[in-house]
Amino acid sequence: MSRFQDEMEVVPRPAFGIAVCVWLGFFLLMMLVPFRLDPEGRNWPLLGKLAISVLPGIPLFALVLLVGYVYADAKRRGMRYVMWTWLAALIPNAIGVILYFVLRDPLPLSCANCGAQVRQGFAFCPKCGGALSRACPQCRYAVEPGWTHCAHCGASL
Amino acid sequence: MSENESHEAIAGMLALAAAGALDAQEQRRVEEHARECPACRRELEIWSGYSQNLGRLPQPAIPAQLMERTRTRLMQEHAAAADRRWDELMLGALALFAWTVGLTFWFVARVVTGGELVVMGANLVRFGTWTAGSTVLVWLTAAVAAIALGRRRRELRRAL
Repeated sequence: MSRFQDEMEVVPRPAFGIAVCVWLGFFLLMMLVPFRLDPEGRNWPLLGKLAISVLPGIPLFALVLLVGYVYADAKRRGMRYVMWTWLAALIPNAIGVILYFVLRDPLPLSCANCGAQVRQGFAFCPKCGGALSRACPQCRYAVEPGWTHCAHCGASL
Repeated sequence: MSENESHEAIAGMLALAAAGALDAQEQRRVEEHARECPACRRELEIWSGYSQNLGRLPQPAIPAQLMERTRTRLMQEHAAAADRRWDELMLGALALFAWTVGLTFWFVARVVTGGELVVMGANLVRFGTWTAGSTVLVWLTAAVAAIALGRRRRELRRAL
């Protein structure tokens, strides 16, 4: 499965329903309002009318899916998902979505012992105390593979 | 091949012959030449001495699970590089998408309002006004992002 498909799996199902509703709402809005306001618009060919009604809803359809993604992704990363969803939805021009992608936390890991979600960089699980990665024998901070000395206390590993 | 060229070629293979790294035919060629050529014979003896002494040195113990750890690290680095590429691609696509959404909103606002939405003397749905407003918004958001990123860096440094 490609990375894009993986990410699409994160989008909650109701977001697809809302996106379709938004697109339909826009379709109706663009089909009815402009051509009533502008008398010349009534003389447009059907293809032009359809293009003006169908196309503007597509970026909004995608925007709703992105907001749904932000909601689910922020939730699985242990971030403040309600705040981020509002920001993604309300800051115009999808700037809230970009902001989210720049500032989001890394994905948490699962403890192999108890299955709890733990932040990356932890050496031990805060729930069960199980070892998550190699730790410095002196200060117990997590150390990365390939280190010969601890970056926190300088102890030889 | 002249005798001189053959000597040069064999001289370059002496170290490999001493280490037993040549195939049987080349090994035989080197040994036959060394029997006839005192200089090559002497050099082959020196290399053979090195080779035997190196073999006597204590062999370093290979750390346990070295292969597994190396493979894990390679996989981690590969995954991190793929993540970085994906993030760069996605941010580029999102920037394009943001422009598309901005233009769509402008178009819809223009069509719905009939091309005129005057607030405090400025027509908000004029392309120039709309673009200027969007630019200000982007700069404001970038400033907020920079402040938030800076704060997070400080927190991380404090935690370390």
